[in-house]
Amino acid sequence: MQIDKLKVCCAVAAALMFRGNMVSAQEDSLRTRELEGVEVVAHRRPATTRSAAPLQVLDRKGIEQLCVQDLSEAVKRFSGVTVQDYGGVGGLKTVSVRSLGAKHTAVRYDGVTITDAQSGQVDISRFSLDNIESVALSIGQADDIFQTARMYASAGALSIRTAAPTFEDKPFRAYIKVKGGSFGLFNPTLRYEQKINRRWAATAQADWMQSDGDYPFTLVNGGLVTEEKRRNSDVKNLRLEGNVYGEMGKGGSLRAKIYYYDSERGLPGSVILYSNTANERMWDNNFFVQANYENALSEQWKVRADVKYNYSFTRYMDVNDKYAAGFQKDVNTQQEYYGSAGVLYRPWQSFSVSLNTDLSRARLSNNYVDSPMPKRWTSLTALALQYKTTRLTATASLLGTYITEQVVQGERPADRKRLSPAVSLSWRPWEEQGFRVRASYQDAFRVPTFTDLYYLRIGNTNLKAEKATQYNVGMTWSGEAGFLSFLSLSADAYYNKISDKIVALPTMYIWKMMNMGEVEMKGLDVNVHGEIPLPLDMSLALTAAYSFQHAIDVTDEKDKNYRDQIPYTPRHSGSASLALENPWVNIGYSLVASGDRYALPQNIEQNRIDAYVEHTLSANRSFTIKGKVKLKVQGEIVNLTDKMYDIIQYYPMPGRSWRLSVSLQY
Amino acid sequence: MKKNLLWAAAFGLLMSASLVSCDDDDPVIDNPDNPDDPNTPPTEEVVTTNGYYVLNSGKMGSNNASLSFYNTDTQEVTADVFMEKNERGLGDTANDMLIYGEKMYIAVYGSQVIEVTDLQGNSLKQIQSTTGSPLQPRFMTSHEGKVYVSLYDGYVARLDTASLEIETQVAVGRNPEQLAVANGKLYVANSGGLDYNTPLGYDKTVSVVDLASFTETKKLDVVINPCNMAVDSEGDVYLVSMGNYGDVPNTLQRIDTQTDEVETITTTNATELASAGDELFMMYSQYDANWNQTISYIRYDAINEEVITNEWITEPIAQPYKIGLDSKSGTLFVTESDYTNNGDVYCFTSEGTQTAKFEVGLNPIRVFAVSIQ
Repeated sequence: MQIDKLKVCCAVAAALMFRGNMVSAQEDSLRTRELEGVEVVAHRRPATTRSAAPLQVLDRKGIEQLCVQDLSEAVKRFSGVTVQDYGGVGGLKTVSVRSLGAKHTAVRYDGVTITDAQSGQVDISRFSLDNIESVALSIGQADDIFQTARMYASAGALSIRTAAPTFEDKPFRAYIKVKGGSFGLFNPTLRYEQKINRRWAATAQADWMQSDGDYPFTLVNGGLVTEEKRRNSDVKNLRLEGNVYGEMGKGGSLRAKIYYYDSERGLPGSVILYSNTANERMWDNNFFVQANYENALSEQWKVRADVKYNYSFTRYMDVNDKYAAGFQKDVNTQQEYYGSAGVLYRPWQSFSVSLNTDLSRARLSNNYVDSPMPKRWTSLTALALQYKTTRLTATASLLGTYITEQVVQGERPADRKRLSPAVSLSWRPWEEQGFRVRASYQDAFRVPTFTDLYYLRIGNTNLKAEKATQYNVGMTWSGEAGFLSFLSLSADAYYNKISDKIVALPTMYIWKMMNMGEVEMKGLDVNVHGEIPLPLDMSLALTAAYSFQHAIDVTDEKDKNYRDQIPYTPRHSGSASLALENPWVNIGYSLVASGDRYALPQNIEQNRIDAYVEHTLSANRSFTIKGKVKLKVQGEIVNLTDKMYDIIQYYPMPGRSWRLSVSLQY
Repeated sequence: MKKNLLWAAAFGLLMSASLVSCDDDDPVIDNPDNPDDPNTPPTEEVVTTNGYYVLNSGKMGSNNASLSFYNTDTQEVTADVFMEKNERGLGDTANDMLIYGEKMYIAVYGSQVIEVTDLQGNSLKQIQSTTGSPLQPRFMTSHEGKVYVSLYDGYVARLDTASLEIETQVAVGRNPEQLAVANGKLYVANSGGLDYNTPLGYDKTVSVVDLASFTETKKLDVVINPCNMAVDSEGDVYLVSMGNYGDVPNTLQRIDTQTDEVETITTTNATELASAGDELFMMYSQYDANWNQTISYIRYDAINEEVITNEWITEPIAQPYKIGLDSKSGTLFVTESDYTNNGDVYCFTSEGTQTAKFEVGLNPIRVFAVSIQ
């Protein structure tokens, strides 16, 4: 089966290449696109090497070159991160930056952080990369001091930026894309962009995705090896998004968004030996509206504001006769109101100071008996100073946090107050060289989630915040080198410490959330990016990332896992990709590799998960029909070698699969 | 090497034994002193290997239940006998084990099977659901050639030890946990533990099942969330209700099986208990406001209904998990688990002197002393 699909894909690729020689009209358009791409790159790449804290960016060009389809695939290419991937299209995917844990990573969508006060982490599986301009990962304090206070509060941040519409010859643009693939993947997308007048534009997008998720895998149980199929792994979701863009000149710029997401999925659970029971299902609804306003009042003054209302609903259901009702149903509803305002003052060209303040109220209600229905007020204020010349960037910030909570019944945690400082420095020692050194320090923390505090029996309202301290030193270099038209290198070494880690601890019969863990991390992240111009209008882009993570549990000397590597954290991991751009058919190849990991805290053979390398091959080709309609055909083979592997133990990843998409833009 | 030879010899012996006896299996004469103590070892004359089987529950979803063996002669631990003998794992989340006659019964709750093995650990049968709804075995007890298994969907199944078939099942309360036979009746603790966050809440009954007709004759009212049980030599059933971990505390009760009256024991308390016939060995954990626990090890006179001591061991064990007892030798077992790392088993004489300590698998929940020929 898999081999047949591979053949189909190769045939499609060959057909594309053959047709490429016949159609001559497309060359010009391709070149235009490339030029646009280079421009974007030229703006962004140096920013990553100039940044005083580690910053990695995957822009539109990179996404297209490698046919990256969803956010988790993009993030897996970054250094210093581990993606916890439960497998399949609908499987939970969370991001942990430098072993700090997913709850320390903020995910930001068009400037505003996505929050989940209940679980404290964001499932990134639901973000498609269609219409995404860039995905950026920043670690520690970002150089941009003019942003929400929430961005100062996280140890790492993943920022997703959608593309603003651009209009060329006509006041609208329509786009349709259909994607299909293995395991019943069907994913149509529709987008319409309209220019209203000189200042205003609007876009609307609808996106449907479904997948049966019933992929085969090999189950190894001692000496017993069986071929199985993933069950109850289907997913269906609908995403609707509308945006309004306003450029009012002296009146500032406004960007508003309305977003709706609806999904139903099976939760396959971990593979259980000898059992085929999998009846858990999950329904998610998310609705939000957000607006961002920015205005440069003068050379010295800039103001910004964000507002957001977020509603999210989850329904979990497990059907089993062990429940009196024949099923268990958990319904959780969260609402959040959020506002942020900031001002930037730049008295001199090289010096600026900003003050940003956020206020939010989050509320959780659910169907549990005696639910405390917690309400949390969070006030964050960040004061930042920055000195910036072409050779030196120095930033210092101080974040003040105040949190208070209300409950309708039960215990309530004490109010929280905290000051968190951060400093960073980037220096270019030689004027004529693109070489920089950087150093940064950040004190961050995560507030206990509603689950940590209130969840039935296990919750503990006495919890303190979990603290994360980060130190980073690194160097970057970018410029031209030999036959490379562009080369950038970065290497960072870091030391992190997590204290008061929130963990579930067993007492004789009940589990309780406690501030019990301590984790120490030492690591190294290396990134290389190079571009090589080739004859015949071709070019080759190379990207590689390597991470070393030594993240050990230092909670208690008496524990058997004292100084053992924490679970799901490979010592060595990395990625590499090659993209060949040419006038005929663009080819992308990438690999993601991870060393051995442990599923449980004790580093013993039984808990070890094997290393893996996953290869992906992609091809795409654009055409212009009658000079008006842009057609793009794109195909990928994911997990080329049909490698059977787990990221999370007993949550097998899919073997070889294919995807094919066709898009039309008018 | 020496061990392997021993095993091979034992295996050979057992093979020949089973060739002779495989048709008229098991009905074993119960120990008259302690009629239904599942810990009763098989009474064998010829002894070749002495040791302890330890069932490790593993972690839910990790398929790492295992059966460790500690050889008391060589003091060596075989980490997973089941895997070694059968070249496949026991499965996910083992919950209980029973040695009865020449067989071992292991309830693997997560994998929804009951593994039946011989005393060497060779699988004889993996019992799966025959009813269409998943088999969710929790605890087991044995009586007159039958093994009774509580099933989490509200039943007790009767397993014939000769045919290894589930003959029938009887409906009891919600989420039944431990069960015990006394006075010709089967007592089943109905916890209702899975409904704790619904308006229905915990169950608070003990089902009484008449063994002859295998029907539930009545339900006794007890403190909410009854879980653990033990029977003394007089046929009294001692029952631990876990309460709601909040305003209803953990409570020890005694069921008089003549009258089926339930009495709360106020002189002491327990979470884990093991019967030595006339005495009970118990473990009780108390918590302070910060959830630090204090453990007491209570030795209880089940005839005169009084506490003998509150520290049958004085050895500090950081995270005690389960207790066990070999009534033949009087050896007491305390297992330790932090739910994270491999657990340990501590062995004591009935006077509290530590005789051995060894590492086993994750979450050791049952220990049995065996002599394997």
